[in-house]
Amino acid sequence: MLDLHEKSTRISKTVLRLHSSLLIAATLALTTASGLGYLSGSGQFGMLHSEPIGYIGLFQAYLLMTTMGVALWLGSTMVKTRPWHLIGILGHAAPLAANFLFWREIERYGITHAGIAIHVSMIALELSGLLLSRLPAAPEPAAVPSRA
Amino acid sequence: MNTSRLLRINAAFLMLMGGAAAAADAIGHFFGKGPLAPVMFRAPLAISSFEAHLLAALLGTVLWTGARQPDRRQFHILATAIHVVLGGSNLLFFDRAFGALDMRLFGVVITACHFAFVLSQTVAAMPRLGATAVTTPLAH
Repeated sequence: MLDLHEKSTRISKTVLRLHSSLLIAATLALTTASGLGYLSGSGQFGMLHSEPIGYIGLFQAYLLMTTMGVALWLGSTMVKTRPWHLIGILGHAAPLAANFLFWREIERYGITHAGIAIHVSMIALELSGLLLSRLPAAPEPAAVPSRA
Repeated sequence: MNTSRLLRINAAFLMLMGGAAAAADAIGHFFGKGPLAPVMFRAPLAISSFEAHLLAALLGTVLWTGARQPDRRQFHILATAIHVVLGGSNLLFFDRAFGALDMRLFGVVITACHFAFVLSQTVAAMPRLGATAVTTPLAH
């Protein structure tokens, strides 16, 4: 039977893999959609056609988030998962901070609340993993002194 | 060179350049000052460039953490991926990004740095070289 520490470690690794999978899938889909918008000038990302500098930034940001997803998956294979939860939190803290800083500019696209909801929920997910990864291991049973 | 040192140099490069570029994006956008002001001043999508540079700086901290690990091979692969993305997008959008700012020479230097890191990190990740502990007597 698994002890509390083993269970929490397993959940912590699952959290990292879930976050990683979501990040990789979402950012690859967004890279494709934004590329199509930039090239054709139509669709959700159609505005990028007239904003090439904005598109270059998005292209880099999405692919760096994909790389971050790969990093989180790598982190889930390591013994200590705690630093990786922190990285997962910081990874969303950066775009969340940008969201607030550039609030007026992105308000016109109506994506402020969606962005905040996504980043905050992922930070909450990683916070739960972080708390679980801090549970201490069960103490080793005390050795019985040998008479030999 | 010790592969841990290579990761640290790479991490410092990302943190320094990413952080400085993110600051330049914000200053250029809000105050119309600095090297990026010509394209960033009140640009509606300046947020994307700001985010990308901030993420690059953050990934620098990941590599710094990785430099302390005994098994660093995965971090060398990660570093390679980061520089393929950054250097590749510089090449792909060279004229739109650096041409618009009249910073072509800077663009050439920074793109060369990215590909130099791609090369050195790929070599460090190769199992034959033992990414866990490639040390020279001089490194100590």
